[in-house]
Amino acid sequence: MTIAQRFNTTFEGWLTASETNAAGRMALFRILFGLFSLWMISGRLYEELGLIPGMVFRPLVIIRLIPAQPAPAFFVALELLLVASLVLLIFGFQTRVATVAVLVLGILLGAYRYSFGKISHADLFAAIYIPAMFVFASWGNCYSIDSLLRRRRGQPIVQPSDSSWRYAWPMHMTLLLLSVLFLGAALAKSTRGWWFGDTQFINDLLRFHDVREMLGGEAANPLSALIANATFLHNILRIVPLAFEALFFVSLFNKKLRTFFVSSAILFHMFNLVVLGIDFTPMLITYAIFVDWQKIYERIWPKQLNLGAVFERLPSPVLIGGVTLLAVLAALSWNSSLTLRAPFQSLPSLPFWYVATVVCSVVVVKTLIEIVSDFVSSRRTIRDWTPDVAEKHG
Amino acid sequence: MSNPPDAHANSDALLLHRLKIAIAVVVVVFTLQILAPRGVPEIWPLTRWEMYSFALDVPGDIVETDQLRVVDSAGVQHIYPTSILYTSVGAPDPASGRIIRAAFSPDDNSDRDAFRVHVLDRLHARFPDFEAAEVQLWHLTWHLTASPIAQFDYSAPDEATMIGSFTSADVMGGGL
Repeated sequence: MTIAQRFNTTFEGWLTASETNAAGRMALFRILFGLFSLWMISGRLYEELGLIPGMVFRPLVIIRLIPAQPAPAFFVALELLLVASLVLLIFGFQTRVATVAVLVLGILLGAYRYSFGKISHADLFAAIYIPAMFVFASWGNCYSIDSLLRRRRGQPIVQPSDSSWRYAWPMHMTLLLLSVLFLGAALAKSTRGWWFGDTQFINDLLRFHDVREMLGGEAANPLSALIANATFLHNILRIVPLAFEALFFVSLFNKKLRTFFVSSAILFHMFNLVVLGIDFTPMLITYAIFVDWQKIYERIWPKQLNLGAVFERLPSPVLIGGVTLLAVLAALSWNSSLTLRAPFQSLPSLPFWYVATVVCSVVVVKTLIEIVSDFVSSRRTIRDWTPDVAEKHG
Repeated sequence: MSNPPDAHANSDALLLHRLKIAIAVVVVVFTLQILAPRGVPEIWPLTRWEMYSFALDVPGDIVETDQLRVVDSAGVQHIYPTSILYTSVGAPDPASGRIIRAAFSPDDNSDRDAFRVHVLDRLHARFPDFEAAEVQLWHLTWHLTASPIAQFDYSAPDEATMIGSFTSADVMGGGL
């Protein structure tokens, strides 16, 4: 077997590895993704993209061939289509079509959002990469109107416990993308000289962000004074984030390492939020793809609250008409006073970060203990496997 | 009605083949973006994460900024950073500050008036609870003490200079 063949076999094995409850957890992730996306867009008035004066319009490459900045009504139409598509996605009706719509609208709205001089990287996964993967993957086979209608037509149904790689591969793909991006970040920092070469870099970084925060009317980082006066902390702050980014790809090797690095990533973003004021809230949903929501659902969802049974009782035309009507009403009311936007808009992001930080801290410690314990026991097994023992075992 | 096992196996093999090609393309494109020298623009939505790999434009002894002060029809003053105009352009964006500067340009021309109308419109969209009667642009300066950490009181600048102001009555009364 050549090296290329061996690599191919290993890679295929990794990509097609099964995951517990893959079908169920991806379906529940779809619902969370839809709700999360509504939350993310609830604070934006997309209409203004058509109103911002042309003097600051610097179109990105992908829209440079479009001759003019579209009118506000164009962006309102896109926004309402996005809301309707997300509602369909949450209920799992016409899931594939809704996913394609979310992707196309995410690209169009994103391209214009970032055509005024600043590109943000925080929402690329949420707005584009995740829907792009699920255009080709399946996240509508459980907990969806589509699956209910398929069953009524006599077609085979998928159990939430189905662990097939066909449902799980977006997790693996996401991990690979994150690994490449984190490795690239580490490479850029370590090769361009500033991160290690400039002795004032950490102080400059803190000063830069403190000034920015204070000019925005926010408080400066309370730890700045402590960090500025402790050289050993400078070294920790240089080495730990860089090591995290450079080693993230290790998460590809096994599930415990994946759990460790994905949980650490939340702590990494929380640290950046607290110390540097860099808000990566849209990235939270990216890491949520690695959680076994099916297991959580089975453990904590009250059995009496069986939403599926409610849908079961409704005839198919009522289900189809009802969900379609709901999507249309949600879109049409999005910009009115009686709106779906308001409850999402009022949700603050910090409590989510606090909860995620507490949970991930526990998971990081627990997983680290397990990894070390596995390593120690594997070493012990190798040590105990002396020729005598091997002979005895035959 | 279910698919025969062979059909499943074939569709799985086809999916795996396509996935491998897609992954190869994505990884190559991402790697090329990462290795691209500084100045080569990012081909959005493909991305590279290179934050803090370059020197920062760190504020020295002086910190300066523009500030928007809006007096509403009840005489109450509201203070905002100049990034306040837009909600949809992502991270704190220079576009808003540039538009506000253009609205306070010393050149008295129709462009400036159009920017003023736009600023009033956006303020109304962002803050529908009050009517802006007067909009002022101030330039604030703080002198920092020699210290590794930045310390200044945002509410008490060392210097505050009004760059200009306009009233909504002036702008709307001008036939705009």
